[in-house]
Amino acid sequence: MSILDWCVLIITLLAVVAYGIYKSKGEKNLEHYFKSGNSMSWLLVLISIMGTQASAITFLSAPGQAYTDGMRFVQYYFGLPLAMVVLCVTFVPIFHKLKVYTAYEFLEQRFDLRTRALTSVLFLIQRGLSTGISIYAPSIILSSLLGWNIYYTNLVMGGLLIIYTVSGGTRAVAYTQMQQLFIVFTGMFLAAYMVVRLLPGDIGFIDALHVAGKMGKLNVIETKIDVTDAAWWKDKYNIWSGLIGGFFLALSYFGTDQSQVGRYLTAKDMHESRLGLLMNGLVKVPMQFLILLIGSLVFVFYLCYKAPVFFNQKETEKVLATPYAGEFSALSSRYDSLSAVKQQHAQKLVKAIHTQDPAIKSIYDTESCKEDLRKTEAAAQQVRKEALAVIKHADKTADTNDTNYIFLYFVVQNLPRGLVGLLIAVIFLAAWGSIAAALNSLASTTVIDLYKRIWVKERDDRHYWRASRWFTFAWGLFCIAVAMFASKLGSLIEAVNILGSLFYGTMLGIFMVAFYMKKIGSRSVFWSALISEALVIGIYRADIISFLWLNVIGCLLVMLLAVALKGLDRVKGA
Amino acid sequence: MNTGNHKRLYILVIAFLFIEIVFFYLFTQYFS
Repeated sequence: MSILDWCVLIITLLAVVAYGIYKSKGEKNLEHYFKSGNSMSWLLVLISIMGTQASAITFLSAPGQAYTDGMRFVQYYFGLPLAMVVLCVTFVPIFHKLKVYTAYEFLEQRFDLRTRALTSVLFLIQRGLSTGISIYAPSIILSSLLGWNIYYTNLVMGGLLIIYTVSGGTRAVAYTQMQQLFIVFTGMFLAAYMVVRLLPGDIGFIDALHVAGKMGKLNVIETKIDVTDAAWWKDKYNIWSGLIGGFFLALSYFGTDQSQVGRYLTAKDMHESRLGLLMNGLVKVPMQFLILLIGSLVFVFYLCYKAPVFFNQKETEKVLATPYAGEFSALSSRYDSLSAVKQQHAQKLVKAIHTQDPAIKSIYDTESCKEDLRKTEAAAQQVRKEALAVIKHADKTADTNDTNYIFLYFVVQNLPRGLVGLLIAVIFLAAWGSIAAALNSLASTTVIDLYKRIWVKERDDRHYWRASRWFTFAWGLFCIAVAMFASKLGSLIEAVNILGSLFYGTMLGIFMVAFYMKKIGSRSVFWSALISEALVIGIYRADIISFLWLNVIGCLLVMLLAVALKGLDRVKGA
Repeated sequence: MNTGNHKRLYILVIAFLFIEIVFFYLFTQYFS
């Protein structure tokens, strides 16, 4: 990175921290600390919801996902708008009516303290670990691409935001998220503009779309499903898994995860909460579509220019220092030769798309050019597959998934000075937005559902306000510690991502029973939740279904088992 | 269920999702 990039990066990060501290001023009580005194407008609620959901990995992974698999990933968000409507109708009025601080408070009023504590603890384990990973995941990518020390990167990624999250609570988190999102969207817009600008002179934006589409990278809607194929259930991104699985996932995340519930509980009233959530339902899908589109454009860019056989340079350097170096270099050279052929075919395809002249059309036929390009791309992918196998042979612990590295590799290698620094800042700020909200929610659940309710009762508000600040700080340290530990366990990222989908279904099931099955009591819901959790873990271990469906299964199991075990509620002493 | 006075917004959100899906379908077909 150049000095200019460093200046842009440092100034941007320090400005956000300073703004967060400035916005920390306010009354020192629990209601202001966790609910911002119920002062937020729908716009701030919307920004806070979006800033919490969009982590650094969203901006790193989505373009990479479009590069490798096309844009069908956007279908994963189709269930979200529907979930927003259900939340507004069901969850929001109840949370506002009961004036709760956390979603789990409601469970004690509906069932008992045991169910509230169980759900709170499930949330704390899952969110605590996954926040540690959301510090580690972007840090490892930045440290690999820029040669930074992973431990220091973890400290900056998870440490600086603690300053304003501890001092300002929910209010500071929301206001900094506004600033962060503005910088993130500016950076992403500039990156998209630069990809198109860096394409060869004869390829414009629409040509790039045609090329990407013909290479299967604009496959936004995937309706084709083969139910006779057993692997269909494992296909993550088609319109059905997106609508049904995505709906349950969004409902669990926005309805039962305190890191989101805590955002819309800060609204002035129920109307503002609902507006914030519904607006999120309107803007989320187009936003993801545009981020994925950048990935498809980067794909076209690397059709026109040489792409590395593997985007994670650190792993490449490692394999080159082993006896497998010769084999890897030979494959890399073959990949480069195929890249040159791809460039020629891409140019021919653009000519074929451009021209209306029948004489030229007879030489450059769109269909045959497309076929040539596809065949060469398939051959290049085969070489890449062999190169990945060599990397794995050289080091069995090597991470051969470079999806998350593609976009940042493009940024670092191709964007002008200054803009690289801004894009690196975008990664930090996107991470801070979701980590700060997570720390705030971890502290609110610890203080409201456990500390104040079970451990230290009946102290004054000032005491709990101080405890909340300490718990925010302690959770910050815990998450950084998880990030430091994660650097020794590469596969933990996937494990913890899946951990979320393992717990969300059961948590949602408990809430669905609470809302819609009025005759079910505390004992049956408690045991049905425990049995469902065990079954969901069993199904996951059997590896027969995509993780998106686990939320649906977990939720339905809790509801069905609660009916089956209804007799338990009649047992004496229940 | 308490739908409040937001019925029109709920319909708007669902209708917008439907329009998006149709647009994305046509987008996929046009550029493929």
